[in-house]
Amino acid sequence: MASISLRNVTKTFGGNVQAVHDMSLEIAHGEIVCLLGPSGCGKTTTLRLVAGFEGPTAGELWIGDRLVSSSRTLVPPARRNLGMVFQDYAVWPHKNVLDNVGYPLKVRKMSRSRIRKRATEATALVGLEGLEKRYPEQLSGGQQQRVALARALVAEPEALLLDEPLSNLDAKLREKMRFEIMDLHQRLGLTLVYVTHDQAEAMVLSDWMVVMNRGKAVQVGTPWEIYRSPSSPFVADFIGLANFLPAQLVERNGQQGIAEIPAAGSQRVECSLASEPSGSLPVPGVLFVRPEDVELSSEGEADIEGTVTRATFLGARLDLRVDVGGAEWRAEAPPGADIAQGQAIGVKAQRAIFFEKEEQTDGETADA
Amino acid sequence: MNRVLAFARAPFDLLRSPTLAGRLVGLAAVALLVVLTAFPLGVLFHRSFEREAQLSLQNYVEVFSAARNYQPIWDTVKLGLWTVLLAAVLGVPLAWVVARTNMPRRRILENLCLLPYMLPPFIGAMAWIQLLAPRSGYINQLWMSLMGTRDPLFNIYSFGGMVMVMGFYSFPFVFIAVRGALERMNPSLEEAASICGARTLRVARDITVPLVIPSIMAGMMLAFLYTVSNFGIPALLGMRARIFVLTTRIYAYILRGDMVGIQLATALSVVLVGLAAIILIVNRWVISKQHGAAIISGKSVRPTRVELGRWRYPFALGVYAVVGLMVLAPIVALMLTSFLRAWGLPLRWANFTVRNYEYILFEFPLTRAAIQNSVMLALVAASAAVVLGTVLAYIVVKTRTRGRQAVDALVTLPNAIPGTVVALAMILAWSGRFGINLYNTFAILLVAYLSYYTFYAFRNAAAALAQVHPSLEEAATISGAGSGAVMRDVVIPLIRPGMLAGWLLVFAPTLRELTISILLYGPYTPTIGVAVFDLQDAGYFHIASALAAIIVVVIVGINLVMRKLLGGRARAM
Ligand SMILES: Nc1ncnc2c1ncn2[C@@H]1O[C@H](COP(=O)(O)OP(=O)(O)O)[C@@H](O)[C@H]1O
Ligand SMILES: [Mg+2]
Repeated sequence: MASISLRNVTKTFGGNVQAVHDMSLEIAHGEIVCLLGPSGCGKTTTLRLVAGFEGPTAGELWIGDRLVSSSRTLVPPARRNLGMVFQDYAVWPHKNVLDNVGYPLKVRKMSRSRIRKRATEATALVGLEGLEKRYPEQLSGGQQQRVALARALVAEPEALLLDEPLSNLDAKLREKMRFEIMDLHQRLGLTLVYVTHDQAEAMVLSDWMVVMNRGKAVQVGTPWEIYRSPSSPFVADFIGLANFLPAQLVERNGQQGIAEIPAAGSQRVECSLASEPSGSLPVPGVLFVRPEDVELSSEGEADIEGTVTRATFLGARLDLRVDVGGAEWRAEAPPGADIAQGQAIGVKAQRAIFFEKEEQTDGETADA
Repeated sequence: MNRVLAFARAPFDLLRSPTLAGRLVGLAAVALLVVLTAFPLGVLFHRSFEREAQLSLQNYVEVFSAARNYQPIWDTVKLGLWTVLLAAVLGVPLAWVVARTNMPRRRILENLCLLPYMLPPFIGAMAWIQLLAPRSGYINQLWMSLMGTRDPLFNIYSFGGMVMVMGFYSFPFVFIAVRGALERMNPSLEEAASICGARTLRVARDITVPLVIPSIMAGMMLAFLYTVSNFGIPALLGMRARIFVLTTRIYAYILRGDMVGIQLATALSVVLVGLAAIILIVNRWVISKQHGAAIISGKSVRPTRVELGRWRYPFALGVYAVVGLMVLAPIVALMLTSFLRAWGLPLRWANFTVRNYEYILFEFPLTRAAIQNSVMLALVAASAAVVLGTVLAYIVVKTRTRGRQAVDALVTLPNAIPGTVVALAMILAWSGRFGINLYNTFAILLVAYLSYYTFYAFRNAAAALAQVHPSLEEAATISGAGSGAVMRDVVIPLIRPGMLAGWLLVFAPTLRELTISILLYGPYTPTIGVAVFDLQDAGYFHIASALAAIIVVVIVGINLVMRKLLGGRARAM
């Protein structure tokens, strides 16, 4: 078991593609950390830097107290003692399950009987007992994924790296595997770096996570912190559902303030500030409100009212779109609520974060 | 047997085609296929069991009891095995260099490796004779004068010579198969091994090589079939050393011209086909035993390349030296000889001339007739093959005619059979015994070419047709077009590039065909291949070279056109 430390790591391809930019992370023993971000943001490259398939253009990478990568040194992947699960499984088609799983031990020149014993144990650990003699072509996608997992675990690596390991599985299986991976992590106490573009997966798994965009770590924190207090509109938009309401900051008191929403009859909303305002009040910007933080009330009970333009039943809740003075608010209600399209409804933003104007143009919004 | 039964149903299904024209064209094409291929090959098989008009095993008894008959079987196998070994030794590392290293100018290397694939092997044999004939070969002369010895470096007229030249002309089969596999192999399979702790060589041994083996074997099998079917190389290099393989033994028996000779040639032909069939079956069996043989396919990936670092340029130099000697040296020798006043003269400015070209193009009756004949044959054969191949492809790909798989098999069959055997089948079927005598005519050559080469036109048309989605035809029908109009306005325009490629793929090899022609040409119908072969065999190297040089230039030109046409997908013949 070991910690992993990235210190100002940058990776540039072909002189101009900056895949990873000045990334610093300190991952302690036994933590699960997710790298989350839209496709092409540099997650795989970061993981491959840790694995040693790529060397950094600048910066240093440490595993435990060993410097493994810098612009001058590069310990080859074979000597890093890591386990890795690839997005496409990479289970070898010419080896059966047991030979796939036992390969890391064979390379370490273990005796045949011990390889057999430990590979069988690892195979059982991922729930594949009885399939040891099968070849990959006789296995389902989920089973191949488990083989890949067992192979990555069998040699008791310093850390386990997973690159979107569940993205090729169907939704049900994905959910199941998610919990199995958590379970394994708890039992074995592994350090785990997990790449995904699926925010739900990251939320479930992570001790803490890294939201990436265009090669940069834009926010680092626990799932709760990131969900509740996104540091930029990009993060707010990428994780969960978000309302962005044009607003003005009219009062300020330290990290708190009051903003007015012009489209909603200048409703005044208490909010926290994402950053120091750069100019003097009033400051133009957007107010970020989660749908579940929009308080709904019956007609006539609230200051501000809108019209329900769409009510969609989503099983666990009712998803609402409400037109408030020309702006669309997303809100939610319990599934059985008696709310119909076209009905007037009172809205109030309960908990909000204010982002200054520049930040929104600066932070690219992602299609989550 | 099922296929035969299904095939018998094809005419009935074709008769149900909605239009009269459709019925006639379909039936005519299938009938032509039967006459061209099924009938002659059937006759050949039957005749191999016949002596003095009686059913008998006598031919086979003689084949397996006389050394002059069974020795060629053994030598064919031996030549095939050694050649395939050499082809693998050359093809696998070159494929690796092209697919997996950062050696400079890999595209040029790749094209050099594909060059032998398009050139006829007998021209290769000629060129290597010019380099390594015991006394007069350029390399041997250089060697003897450098070393001050009277012993040549290497005698090309030998079993070793046959293996060498055959290997140089068949390694592209291995090269192409392995390069494809290495390029398409998912890099994470190898990365997974290195993260498991395996170092570079270990990864190659445990992962890369086992995964590429099915492709190596597929390439080796093609090279083996190519070798045992080849006539030109053993004829030019082996016969002089009294080494006979099956193709040349069959040729010698047919030349003898008597009845028993033909009978023995027939039995040997069946043995040769059997040999090819065994290889195909064994290969298929071995591949079916390999796990994951089918895994390497589909999407292309970004393969990890080995960084050669500071060895990049020295390495490239070495590779180019080997490939240059192997591929370019013979072509250069051929070109030089074609400008010599006479073979054997030292390479001095005063000895160079363009007389040979004038002679073959404007004066010498044999070469003039050969050029005329071959051009005519190639034009007619290519055009007829495209028409026939397209109709058959339409039947196989676009209709539900029962027995269409049998049609497919029957078009493909002759191409899997050595040309020598196809030619003999033509002789047996079309020299009067069944009321039609085409012997010594232009027609028998045409019939044989069509039987052997329609496959290329068929395959290209079928591939193109498979791309034409049924809804395109249906859309035309719903717009009111009759089936003729659908063909003319929708189908043909869409498959035209495939048809054109098919035309060129038939035209190029028939233009210089040797194996079939040498058994079927008559006094008035020499072909270019035959002319080059005879001139070379008679020792007129400089004249033969001029004609061969023209062929090489024309064929390379056709291949460049074809590559433009198919956007790099074309694999030359
Ligand atoms: N070997 C490479 N050569 C050039 N560009 C690369 C290479 N690998 C990745 N990239 C580029 O780096 C960026 C980040 O890629 P990647 O790390 O694979 O993203 P993600 O895994 O987040 O989808 C992309 O723009 C990608 O095109
Ligand atoms: Mg990725």
